[in-house]
Amino acid sequence: MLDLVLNKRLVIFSGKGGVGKTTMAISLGLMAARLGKKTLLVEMNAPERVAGFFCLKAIGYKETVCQKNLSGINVNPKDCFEEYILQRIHFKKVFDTFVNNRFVTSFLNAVPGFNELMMVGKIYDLAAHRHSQKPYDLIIVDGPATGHGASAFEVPQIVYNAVKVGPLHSQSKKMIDFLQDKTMTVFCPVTLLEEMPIVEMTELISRIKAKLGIGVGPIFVNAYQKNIFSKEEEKTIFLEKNVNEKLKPYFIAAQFLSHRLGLQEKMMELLQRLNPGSPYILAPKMEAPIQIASDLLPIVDAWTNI
Amino acid sequence: MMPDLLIKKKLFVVCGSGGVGKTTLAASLALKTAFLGHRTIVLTIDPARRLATSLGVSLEGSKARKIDPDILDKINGGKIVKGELFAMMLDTKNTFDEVIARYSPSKDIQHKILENKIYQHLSQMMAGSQEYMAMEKLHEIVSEEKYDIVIIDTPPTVHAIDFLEAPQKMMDAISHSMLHLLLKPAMMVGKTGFGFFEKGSQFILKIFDRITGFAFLQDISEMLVSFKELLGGFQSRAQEVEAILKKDTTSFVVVSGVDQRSVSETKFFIEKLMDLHLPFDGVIANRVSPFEAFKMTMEQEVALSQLVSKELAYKMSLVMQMFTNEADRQKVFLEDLFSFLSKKQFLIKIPLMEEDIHSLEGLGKLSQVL
Repeated sequence: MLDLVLNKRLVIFSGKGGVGKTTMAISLGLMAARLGKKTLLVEMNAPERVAGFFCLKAIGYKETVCQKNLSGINVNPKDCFEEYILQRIHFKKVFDTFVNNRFVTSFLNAVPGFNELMMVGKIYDLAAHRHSQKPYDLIIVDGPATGHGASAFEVPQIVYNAVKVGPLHSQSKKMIDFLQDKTMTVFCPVTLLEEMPIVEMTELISRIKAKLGIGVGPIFVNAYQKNIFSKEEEKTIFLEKNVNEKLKPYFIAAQFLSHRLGLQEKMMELLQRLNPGSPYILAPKMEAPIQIASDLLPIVDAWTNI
Repeated sequence: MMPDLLIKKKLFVVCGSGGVGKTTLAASLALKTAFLGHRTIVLTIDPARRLATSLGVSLEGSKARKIDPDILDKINGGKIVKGELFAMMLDTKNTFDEVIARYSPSKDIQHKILENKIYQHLSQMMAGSQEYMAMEKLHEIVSEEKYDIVIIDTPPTVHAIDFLEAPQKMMDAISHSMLHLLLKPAMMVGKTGFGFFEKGSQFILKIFDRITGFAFLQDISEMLVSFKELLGGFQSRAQEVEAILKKDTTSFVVVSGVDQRSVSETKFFIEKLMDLHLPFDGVIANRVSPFEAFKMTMEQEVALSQLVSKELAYKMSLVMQMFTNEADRQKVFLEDLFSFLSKKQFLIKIPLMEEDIHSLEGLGKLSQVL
């Protein structure tokens, strides 16, 4: 099932804040790199997180090698805008005057969606191998968190509808065509097995499908707790009465886990009910805190064996 | 929670990142102050609506609704509650249309913006409307002066700081935009074409034409001009809200999770509160593991394997290990948080409950911990 994701050119991870998009993006990146694909991890104007995973101080706007076959970049609206202008204005003096003009810089912030459009444009250039960008096999985007109005990848469609003529119209059309090309782009929602992330993710998926026509890939379910007890053992855990005080905590702990697993099951049912027929990929819950790339190898291994 | 806070403070702002349990804790705090005899109102922002249902809050529009005093008495263990509890839910669809509809200084301006074609498309990309509405509601409630204590739940933003910064960011972006100045000559004369502009502007505009198209610039400019007209009222109310938030009868309470990400968010947010000179009083650490301070010993493991099967005993000790490790990690984060606070600031720990709390009874239980 992951082949369907890995054989694309552009993979976009999205979901509620805190569900683990960065973790999923890096894990997939490690897997792709292992398979020999030249991969680029893209953060969108985010506080540097990928850098820490690879023991780098920061990544910034320059494509930086993280490990073999895997590089990273942290795009921001201003640099994307300047690169966009540079592609169209070839005289440095003209360029300098324009981008430093105060009308221009205040414009960037005042026009809703413009910042996002610039970043999506950069990602499009990278994925479509335009403007002599280095030709990566796979671009993985750690997308922005949902819940803040329309998400960044909805912007080209919105601009296309809003502006009927001119360069922005044609530019956004090119982006939309690439995003809608199901052989090129796949949108992967990420969630935890908790109610609010699941509900928000479901709303996002229906918006993407209804308004944008971007291909939606398998749902990535993060922090999945594996059940270790058999049915018989479960009975014992709950039935044991007259347990000596010193041993009671073990039973409480086991009951607690059992209860958590029950809730997880309910949430899984909810997810499947709200997204009937959608495939999903599980990422196991990590016991130790995840700090560097090698901490993610259990996830990569689990995925390699699907 | 320090008793003197509950006596001295008139406004509690419950903040933190989305998903930490703010709404539940805000409601629970409100119950507590009502039990203590105060006429309390809580403004919640409850996307899941379950709390709203428990509180019996009106599901359409933001109207204050009084909780049945008999129910309050029941939750208080049968003891008569002298205070009163009102609840209001901020019900927004996260769009600016509502902000404009409610707060436009005139119908004219309202129409101008809502009918603007560019606005109709681009407005869904304008972030900050929910934070903005929360601010306006806060202003309304406090100005009405109907309640002893006001408790405000804040929107479930990605970063806790968004609640404070989003409205101002939105206003700054609009007010700093000088686009309309650039286009002024043409707009005044009602004509287009670059001939009407002075050389400097011509240069910039010609490039813009290549990048965005001139028509787009004009449409945006019109929209921004209308927004600027809206801004006057926004700005003055924003200043009043700032003054309210800075009063010494206001209390900022931050709700935090106990994992790495939550704790660093919380610390960042607390620093911001201090920078802005806002009255920060303490942290409520939510969903804390109840397995703290349990020491596993060989003796116990042996006893356990005699009680249940060897295999099950092994599994149970694995589970215990997992939970105690988690509790140990949390302990480190909690100590980190604690050392970040001053002596006057509190750190309350709420244990992880089996289910999310939605019922009034559950809220009652929680309020006892506060």
